[in-house]
Amino acid sequence: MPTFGFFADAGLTVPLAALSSSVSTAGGSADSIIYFGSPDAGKSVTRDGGGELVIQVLDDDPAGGIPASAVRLALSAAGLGSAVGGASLNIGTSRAGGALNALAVFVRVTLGAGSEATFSDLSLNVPDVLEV
Amino acid sequence: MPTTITSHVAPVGVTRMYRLAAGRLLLLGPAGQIYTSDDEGASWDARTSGTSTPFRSAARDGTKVIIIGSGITRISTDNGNTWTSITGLSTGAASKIFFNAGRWHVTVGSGGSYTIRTSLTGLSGSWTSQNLGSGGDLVDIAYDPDAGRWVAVGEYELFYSDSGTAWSACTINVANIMLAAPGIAHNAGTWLVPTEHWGSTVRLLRSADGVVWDAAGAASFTVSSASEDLPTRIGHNGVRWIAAGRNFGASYNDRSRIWTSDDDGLTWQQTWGESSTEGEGFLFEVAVTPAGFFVAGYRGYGGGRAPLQLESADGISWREFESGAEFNRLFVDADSGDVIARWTGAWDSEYSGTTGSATWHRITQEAPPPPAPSIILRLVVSRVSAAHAIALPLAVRRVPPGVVSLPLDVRVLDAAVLGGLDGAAGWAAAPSGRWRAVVVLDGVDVSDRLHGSVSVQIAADAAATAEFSILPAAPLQPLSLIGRAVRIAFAQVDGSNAQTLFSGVVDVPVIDLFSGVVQCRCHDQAQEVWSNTPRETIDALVGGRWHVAVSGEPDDNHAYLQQRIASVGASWALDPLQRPRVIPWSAADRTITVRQADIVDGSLSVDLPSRERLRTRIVCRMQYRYTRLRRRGVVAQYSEPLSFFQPLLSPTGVVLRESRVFLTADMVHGAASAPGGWELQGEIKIAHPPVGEWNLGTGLDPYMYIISPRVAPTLALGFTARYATRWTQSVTEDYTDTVVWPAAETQIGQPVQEEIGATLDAEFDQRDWTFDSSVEPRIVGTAVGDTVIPWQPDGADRAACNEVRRTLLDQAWVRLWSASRSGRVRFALPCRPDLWLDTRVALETSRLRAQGLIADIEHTLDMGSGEAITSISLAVGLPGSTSAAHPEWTLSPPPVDTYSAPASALSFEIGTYVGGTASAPPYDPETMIGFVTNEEGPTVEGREYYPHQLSIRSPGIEAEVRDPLDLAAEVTHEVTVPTDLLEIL
Repeated sequence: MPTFGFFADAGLTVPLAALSSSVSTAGGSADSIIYFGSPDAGKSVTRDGGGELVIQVLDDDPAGGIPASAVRLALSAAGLGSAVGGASLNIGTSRAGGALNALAVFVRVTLGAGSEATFSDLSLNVPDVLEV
Repeated sequence: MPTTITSHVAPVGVTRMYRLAAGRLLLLGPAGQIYTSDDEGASWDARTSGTSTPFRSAARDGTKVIIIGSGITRISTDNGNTWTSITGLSTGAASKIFFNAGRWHVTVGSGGSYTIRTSLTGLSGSWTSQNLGSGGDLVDIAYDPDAGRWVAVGEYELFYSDSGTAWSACTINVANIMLAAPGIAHNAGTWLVPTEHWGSTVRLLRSADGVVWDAAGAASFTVSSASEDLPTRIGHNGVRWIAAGRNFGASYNDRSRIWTSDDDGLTWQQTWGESSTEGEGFLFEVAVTPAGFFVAGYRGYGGGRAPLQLESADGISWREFESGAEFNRLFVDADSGDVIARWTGAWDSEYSGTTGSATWHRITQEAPPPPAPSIILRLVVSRVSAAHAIALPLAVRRVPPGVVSLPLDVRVLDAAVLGGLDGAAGWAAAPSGRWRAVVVLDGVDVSDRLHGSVSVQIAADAAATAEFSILPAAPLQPLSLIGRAVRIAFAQVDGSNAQTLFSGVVDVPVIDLFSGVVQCRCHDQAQEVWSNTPRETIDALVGGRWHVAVSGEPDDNHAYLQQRIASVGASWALDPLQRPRVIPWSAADRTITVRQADIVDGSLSVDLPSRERLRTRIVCRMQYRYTRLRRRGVVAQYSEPLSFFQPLLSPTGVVLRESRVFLTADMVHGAASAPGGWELQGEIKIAHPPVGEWNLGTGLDPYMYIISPRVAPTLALGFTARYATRWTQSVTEDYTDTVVWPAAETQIGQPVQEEIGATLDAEFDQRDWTFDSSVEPRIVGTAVGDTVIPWQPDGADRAACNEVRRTLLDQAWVRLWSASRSGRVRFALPCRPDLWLDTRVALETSRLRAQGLIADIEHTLDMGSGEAITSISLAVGLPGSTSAAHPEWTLSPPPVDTYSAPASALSFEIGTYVGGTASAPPYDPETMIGFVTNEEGPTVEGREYYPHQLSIRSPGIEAEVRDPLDLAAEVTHEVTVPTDLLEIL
């Protein structure tokens, strides 16, 4: 059973089923910190076929919902300012398990003014993960 | 292998010599003499034998000794002191006696029959006899202790016995054999008997059991008409067999030979031999010693015969031993391992020699040196039936690469639901007044099955909790709910604008058996989350200070968080999405204003900060304990002028005072070389008097005082010596840092204090440092005075001390602030799901104005009544509404030890005391420490004369530098602490 995933805390105790963000109809941004890793220190992940592991912003409904460009990813709070909306985030060729190796990922969702709604068309994906 | 030979002369010719018990030697003479020696042959005691017939064989059992000759027997039961004849035991000229395994045996020679006499006691009347048939004499008996078997050798036959009494003939699978005399040897299951050459080509008989005998080593020996090998004597040293004898050639051209066997006598190799030019030669005695082998024989013939002796450590390499002595019989002394050699009077026969030489020899071979140390690695090679392989199964599983996916749930909230308040009086979160609670249990929305009310409790520095009840659609096991994820949200009645109030897990499910309603008590896993959070993350979130000397080692990282945050004005919690948060008390993420119109009627109340909890000063006691490593150098000095010792004469030559007995260099060395507790540094420097002649009288009446060159170096005018000693002193720096909040003291009217503390120990574990000057840290130098090294290793050094003090000061300031924030303003609002602990609230009502951070919140969603209330407590401190930054501490310097050693502590006490004078007081050894002497001259009755001596008294170590030292430092730090708006109108 895969153990790597996204967590709400740096101790990798609370796995996230979804990342909830709330933005006012007046428009604005919502920042979150999530953690990528595995609570099992004996595990590690690499990318199938080699290369960098990446966190992608996928849009299941490009025609509707909100665009992937509404989401910026960075490895620091300061990095959010210069991050490109919708761009993938490289997180290295491999990641080790254990809380000490948890990777903090900064997420900013920015929406313009709009009507009240709930959007679930976006997700963060780490593809081609081989966990050993 | 150096070998020594010592020659001894006995009182008579030595025909036989034996070792008895208790180190006694037994000597048998050619005319029946019996001698014993208890000093290794240096002297001999004649014993009464009562016969002139020579004895030729002896054996013993402890102190019981039996000797026999031709027709004569004697027994001694007192280790050879007294002897009596044995009745019932007859012997012949070639008889020999043996004792093995509790049996006495006598082989009867010169009888032409194989006869063995046997006894258990050896005493008169105890002997039995067995005649085994005619054919010759029995000449030797050997015993195998492992098999419990005796084997006797005759001229043509062999006999064995397992009882020691009944004998049977052995089977010899060789025809026409003639056995050598005497020659049987046994080692580890192998028996060997050498043969004579007559009528057979076999040179050795070999048996594995002593019963059945076969030829052995035939191919190893030369047997031809011109040259015939004749091994005669055999032995074994536990490693290999050795045989000594000769090669019998034509015209008496015999040549001595030595052979060895490493395969239990099956094959033999010649390891030493003479060439044919040596003339006749024969080796007929072999001694196996602890050091190797010793072989004796002769070379040459007629008047040219000469002794031949050889020795070897291994039986392979031989060297001739140049003894210069002549002997033909050897025995190995069991006590010393030496070879006792003697001359029987004839070269080739044990029995023909009856006179014997009085000179006997002790040959001492030194044991070969132990082999050089070797590093041995045994190679174990196993032959296995078939080669095998080392297999490691490879389990390869083909798996598709996975995808880690996290859905993004983005909610666009109506800006209005986050607004309101500030007197708007509406219900922003549910403008229509209709709402719904949303509960998602383990990913399933169970909102439709909610029963009763839903509540969420959130507090700073605590886990958030929640309770809800559901009526399950189908019966379920409540225990299966434990640990299930729970999310609780408040939404408008149509489900829009849902805002999360709580995320966590079910902790305790409780079922109502009558209604089937399951109540779920939940928490947000705060302790678990913080425990799993790395310290580095906590450090980054919290900041502040932490030191193990202040807090002790925490059980887990949650405890570590609580310890560390005690130095920061902040609280910890998990936010509604279970994310760890640290909430500063002074800088809120959000500030809202609440007015009377916004508040649920009757919900406003205030609890002022209690005097019980308020503090105006915190006393920080910090003890820094370490060890001072101390060295003290001192000096011992003494000096008197030459005139002190010289007599004093008047100008007219009258002796006014006699001379004084001189201090000597020996006295100085005796007193000053090793005073107790002090280590001499360098050498003692002695000032000797000058060499010279002094006329202390007048020209007409001279009085000469002379110090000669020989005497001067033995005298001393004085001396100087330096010493040092080392010890440790424990030091406690006791810091009292009092953090005072003057404004609070003014407001309260008196100080209210609390004490916190910590101890930092710099343990010194070099116990030998005091005694062993090579133990680090070293203190070098020979200076007089004190040298001090404080033992403050990394982790317990001055920087650590300061860090502990700063940590305590930080905690003290936070305690003052925390205590002042004990006031609470409570009120309720229509449910505000957006409010959390990071929100600062300005409360403006007609009766009360207050401002503070939310300390705890409770959301209560009662589906039955339709009420959804948020109850809020604000933490408010002393009135003032002033800000204050975290102080930057200025630490007081370490307290200084001002003590300095007095001069008396750095020098020895050495006085001068002269006796023999009219005014000399009685001698007092307690007080007269130093050089004590007398005036010379005739003794005068009634005067006190002192012992001529030198003593010195070392200085003591003062209590100030020896006893545990406390150094105190007190500092008061005046601070300001943030205050809040709190006005009761």
